[in-house]
Amino acid sequence: MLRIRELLKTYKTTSLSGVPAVAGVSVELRQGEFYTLLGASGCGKTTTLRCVAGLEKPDAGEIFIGDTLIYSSERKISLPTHKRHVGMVFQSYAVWPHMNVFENLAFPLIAKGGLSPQAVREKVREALKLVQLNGYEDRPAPFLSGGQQQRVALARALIYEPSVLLLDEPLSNLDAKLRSDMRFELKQLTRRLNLTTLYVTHDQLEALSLSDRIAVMNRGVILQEGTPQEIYRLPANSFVANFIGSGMNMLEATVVAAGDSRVQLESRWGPFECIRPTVDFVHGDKALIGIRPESFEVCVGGHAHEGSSNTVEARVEVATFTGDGLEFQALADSKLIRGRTNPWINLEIGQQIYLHCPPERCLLLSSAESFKG
Amino acid sequence: MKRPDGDRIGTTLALTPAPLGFAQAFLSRLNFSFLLIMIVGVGLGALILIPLGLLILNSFRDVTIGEIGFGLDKFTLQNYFEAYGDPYTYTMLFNTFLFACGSMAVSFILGGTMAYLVERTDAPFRRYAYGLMLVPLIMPNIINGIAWILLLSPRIGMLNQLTSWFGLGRPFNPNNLWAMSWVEGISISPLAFLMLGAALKQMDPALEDAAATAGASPLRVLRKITLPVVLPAIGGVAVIQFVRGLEGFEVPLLLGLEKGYVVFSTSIWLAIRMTFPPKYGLAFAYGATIILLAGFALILYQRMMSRTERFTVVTGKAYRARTVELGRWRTVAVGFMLFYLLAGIGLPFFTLLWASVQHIYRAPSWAALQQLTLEHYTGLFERQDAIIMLQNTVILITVSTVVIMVLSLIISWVVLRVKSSGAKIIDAISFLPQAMPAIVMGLGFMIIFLSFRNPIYGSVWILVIAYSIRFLPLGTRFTHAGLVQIHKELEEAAQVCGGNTWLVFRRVLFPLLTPTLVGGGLFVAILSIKVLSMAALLWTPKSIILAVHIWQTWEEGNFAQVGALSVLLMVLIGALTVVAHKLTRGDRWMAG
Repeated sequence: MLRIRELLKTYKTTSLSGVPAVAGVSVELRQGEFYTLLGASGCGKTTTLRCVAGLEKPDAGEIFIGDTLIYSSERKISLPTHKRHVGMVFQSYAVWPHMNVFENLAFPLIAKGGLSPQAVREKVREALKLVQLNGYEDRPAPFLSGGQQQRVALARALIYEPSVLLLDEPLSNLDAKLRSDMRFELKQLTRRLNLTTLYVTHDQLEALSLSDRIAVMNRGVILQEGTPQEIYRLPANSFVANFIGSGMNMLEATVVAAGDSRVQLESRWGPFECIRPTVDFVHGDKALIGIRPESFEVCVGGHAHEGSSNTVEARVEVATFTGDGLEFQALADSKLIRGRTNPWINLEIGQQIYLHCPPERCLLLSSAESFKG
Repeated sequence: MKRPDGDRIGTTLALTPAPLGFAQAFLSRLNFSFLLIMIVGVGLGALILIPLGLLILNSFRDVTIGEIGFGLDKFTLQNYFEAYGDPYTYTMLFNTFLFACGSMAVSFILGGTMAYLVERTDAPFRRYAYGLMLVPLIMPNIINGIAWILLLSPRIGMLNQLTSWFGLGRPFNPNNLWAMSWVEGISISPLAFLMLGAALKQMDPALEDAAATAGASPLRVLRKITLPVVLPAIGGVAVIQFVRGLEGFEVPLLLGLEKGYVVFSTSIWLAIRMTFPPKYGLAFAYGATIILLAGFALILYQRMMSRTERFTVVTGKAYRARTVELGRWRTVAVGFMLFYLLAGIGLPFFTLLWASVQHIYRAPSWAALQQLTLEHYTGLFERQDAIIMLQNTVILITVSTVVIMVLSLIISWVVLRVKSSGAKIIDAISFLPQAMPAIVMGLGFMIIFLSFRNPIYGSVWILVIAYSIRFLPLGTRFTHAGLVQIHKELEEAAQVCGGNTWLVFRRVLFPLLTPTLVGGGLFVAILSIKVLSMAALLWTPKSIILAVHIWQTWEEGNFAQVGALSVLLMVLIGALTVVAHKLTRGDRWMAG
């Protein structure tokens, strides 16, 4: 439904070489897909989105919506924003302050023309019902709360049934409670209306919970594209591994045997077995094993895993009860491990524990990669 | 004229325990801050409201010179009958209206275009626009007016000379409403530039982007989104510029009087200084009318501004607005800036410079170029009255600036730091002189010092008092801004350490605010030294100041000396502005 090919956008700066904001991004969204560009600020995700909307002009590349070519540097085609038929929700909502809710929603319909006043009224009423703002037609925009403004902005973007919905960090200005409510509603709404959605955020929780597919971006390029589970379970490199989740433990290891599906490694914490990733490893390769804090199974008393591979013996240094979990740091062979377990386990400082990480939870990463934040 | 709103959580009063007797409670409130509010409130109210009140009161009395003042007798409507029974008044009103609208229009075209170029386009050199726009603001109107007469005059005007060379005749004439509006409009255009620029900058660019994605063409976006959102600000600027036009005195005096284009401010001056015996009653009736008009404008302005604030819901990341690519219009934009540079400073400065190095004024020519002289610069201070003039000017500017900055600091502190309903009233009152045309404030102080025997009337000190009050809002603008930037906790930390209010003021606030006070003070001095209207009403040979001196020298026909004085003054003002700008690091001089 939306196809971006080899998009390039460089901002002119005072320094001699321009900084590429977007350096060859290609994505393809299927009809009805919820697709998220995830990355830290300055990674080019918003620029990509704004290029699709026509609010920025790329330097090179092609953009298709459906079968319509809306931008092509080669063929010198650049459809102006107002003819692209995309819907967009801005971070600041951009609800026009000099209009009331009805006028805000009616604006795109009137701009596109061809509807009777009666039909416009009916469509506005339906759109408001969709975002649960029934009866708010006459409310002036400055008298809306943040959450209501957000709904108006969303309704305004949906009312003309755009081919693609563009969302630029629409939840970031809401408070935490409202944000999780809206996240849920947004997911339901886009599923129900079968909307093709391009979503931009720096919040991994939003990305993971909303998306059909995620593209993790850094420095203007897509590092990995995949479903939320793929991104989380099989990060393509250490940048993605570190960006998703928090407090990843990194363990240096050496490959001793590489089988068809498994890889055997040796590390300061003893032998490890990992699932073989897409990258090839051969005997003697240096590698990094990434273990998320929540991947460990904690054994307090027993010796269930003692001596077996993928097991670390450690001494508890800090244990913090957070209500929904227990976060701890433990020392193993003078290296700190960050871990997280369920709140029903009690850990004492100085206590000896065994930490086991099953092979499918050990992320095998090439140590040669130089992706660092 | 928007006030930055500070943190107003009080500290001194909040700690009073509840179960105290009334007397005790009253005593405990009698601390430094409370006394300060009372003193500042009453003092300020007296200094600002009494002159205005007296002007209105005396406009309803039939009095001769010895009876002007606080008397509550001889009430009559005669002054208003005299003023509004005369058809001449309606001509004057019409002239004032045309002049105010004309200068407003000029300032909108010049300032508005510059604001749009700077904020919304990729025009070259737009970064230097702020510096460029500063120039007409600091340029004394008296000098500007004189320079434009020398430029436009049918006989000796340089521009007419230029056009006649090209066989286009001599189309320009300074003595009409067009020229008056043009000259006044240039000098108030920086205000339009700053306020419209701020409105464009405050507007969330996503509002425009959202309309574009919703299918609106660029023209529709401009018509339905940009303009309506900026409209209240445009209205606010229009009101302010109108009041500035109402206030304009120098330009109508220099350009208008010759052909009888009299406006409100000059008609007051004519009634008092150019009529014998002076028609005080008539002047008061005119003055009271201006107070009414200005008050009405002030209310209108507040309305519009509260609407703008409602419109600026700033949230989310601020994209820089998409800049309009000018393409081949870039040349036009540069041409416009060059034109502004020429009109704002280039032509006037060159004209005066030329005049100052001629023995007797001659239009530029090859012959004249060979007889340049510096005699007028060396001869400037040989005049007997020049020494008195210099003394008076120095006294007026230094004393009034110091008074203004000290008062401003106290007012700002009370308004921003002490939680009290009184503080809001003080804020509003201290803003009032800004809304009143200078000549009205001058008239009010004239009445006060005519009402009893005193050595102040006729001396430079009445000017010191009038200037201190009239330009007080300029000072508070700087101290407000400076104080807002100093976090309240810096003071509270000193209080916790055991410092009393006075010690905190002296050891914490004052040192931190020194750059603001010095820089702001310099701007106050620069912007007040150029004002002629109050002095024109109140001056005597004993209390002559620089602005009056330039004007008198002009009236004597000594163009060359006027040129020399103006060039020196412009160089001095320019240098001071650079220093002041460095110290305050901002564009808060916009008060005008």
